[in-house]
Amino acid sequence: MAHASSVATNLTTQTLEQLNAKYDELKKEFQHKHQDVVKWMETKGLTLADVSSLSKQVVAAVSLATQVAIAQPVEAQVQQNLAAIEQKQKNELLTQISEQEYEEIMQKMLGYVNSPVGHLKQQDELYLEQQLSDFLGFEVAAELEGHRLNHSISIMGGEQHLRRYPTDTLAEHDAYQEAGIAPNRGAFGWFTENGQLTEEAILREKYYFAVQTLYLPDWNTNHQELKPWYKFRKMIVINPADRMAVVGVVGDAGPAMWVKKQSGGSPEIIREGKIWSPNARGRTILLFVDDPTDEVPLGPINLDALNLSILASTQGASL
Amino acid sequence: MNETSTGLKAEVVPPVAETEGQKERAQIEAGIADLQRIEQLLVALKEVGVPQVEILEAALAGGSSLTALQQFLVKQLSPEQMQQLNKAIEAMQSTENS
Repeated sequence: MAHASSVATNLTTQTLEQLNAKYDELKKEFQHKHQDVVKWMETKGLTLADVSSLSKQVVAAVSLATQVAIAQPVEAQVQQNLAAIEQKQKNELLTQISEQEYEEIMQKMLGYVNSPVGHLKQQDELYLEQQLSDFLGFEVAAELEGHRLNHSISIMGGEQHLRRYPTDTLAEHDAYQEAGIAPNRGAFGWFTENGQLTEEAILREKYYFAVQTLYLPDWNTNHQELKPWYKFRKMIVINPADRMAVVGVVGDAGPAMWVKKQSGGSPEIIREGKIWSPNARGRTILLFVDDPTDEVPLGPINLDALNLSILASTQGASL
Repeated sequence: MNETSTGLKAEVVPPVAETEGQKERAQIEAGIADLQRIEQLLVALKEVGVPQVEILEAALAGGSSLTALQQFLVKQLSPEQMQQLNKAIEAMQSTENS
């Protein structure tokens, strides 16, 4: 037995040596061929495993972006929307907000989200809507077209992925699979458009909110009118503690009252908006986005970065 | 962190290496796979004339968000470049799987 064990150990060692030699050879070759990438990795302190993970992200993003490029041969809608918003901000010189005012808004919002859930006093609500609309470059409101949820200040819980079409599975979702997938479709139906999984449909599921439409006072008597109005209605969640916001759409109804949370966010919203960071703990502001021409793109907004960009364009404009 | 309203969580079972030798072997093999994956992507990017470091930088800046990276790609590459790159990547993956 001792002999057999020794042979097995030798074989293992030999294989490991061979593998190690191959690895070293590959590394040398890589370092020689891609000196600029290796230098970049060194400056960023990245390992090969880190860059391998980035490679996977690039591959997935290329695949998705290609679908958009093929579907819309001239310009991808994402690009158009982003450019439109950037231009809108420049045109309207939303540079009226100074650094000091920005800090004041952030501090006020932090105070708001730490107050009891529900709605703000009318005066505070108007102030917030106006300041945020100016700052973001698009209109936001707690009440839109006569519709108002029961809470604009809420604790947002994390939801699972939603099935976008009847045969959709968790494996088809490209991120945050650890969140799982809900067994039933969302309360507002499938995300697909005419049976097609469009880029828009993918983005809507990625950035969906669950709101408590079921507890609206007139839901039971007026749901035939209310349901289509709320379906995929654009909203924005603000997390002032981490200075993040995420634009998404209403994609599900909930959470149930007993959960003691007043709104829900998709795995993407929760993670990219840092909604459950130790500072935020789900305390957020949820407002409607008034976007009749569908110009505001879905996805996260780093408020500090947006502020810097506005300040930079102020300085550019004043030169 | 409260993961979901329903409290459901996916379970992750880490692989268990039976011996130290196997563990080391698995690490080296993972390293080789990482190198090959990066190499193939860099070659595909180069073939299409896409700046390698810029793309990696964008992926790093976007964190785990694919959307940010997608938006970067859409802004930086023409639809033709995107299709060429996608084809090159598909070719790379089919070689990897064969």
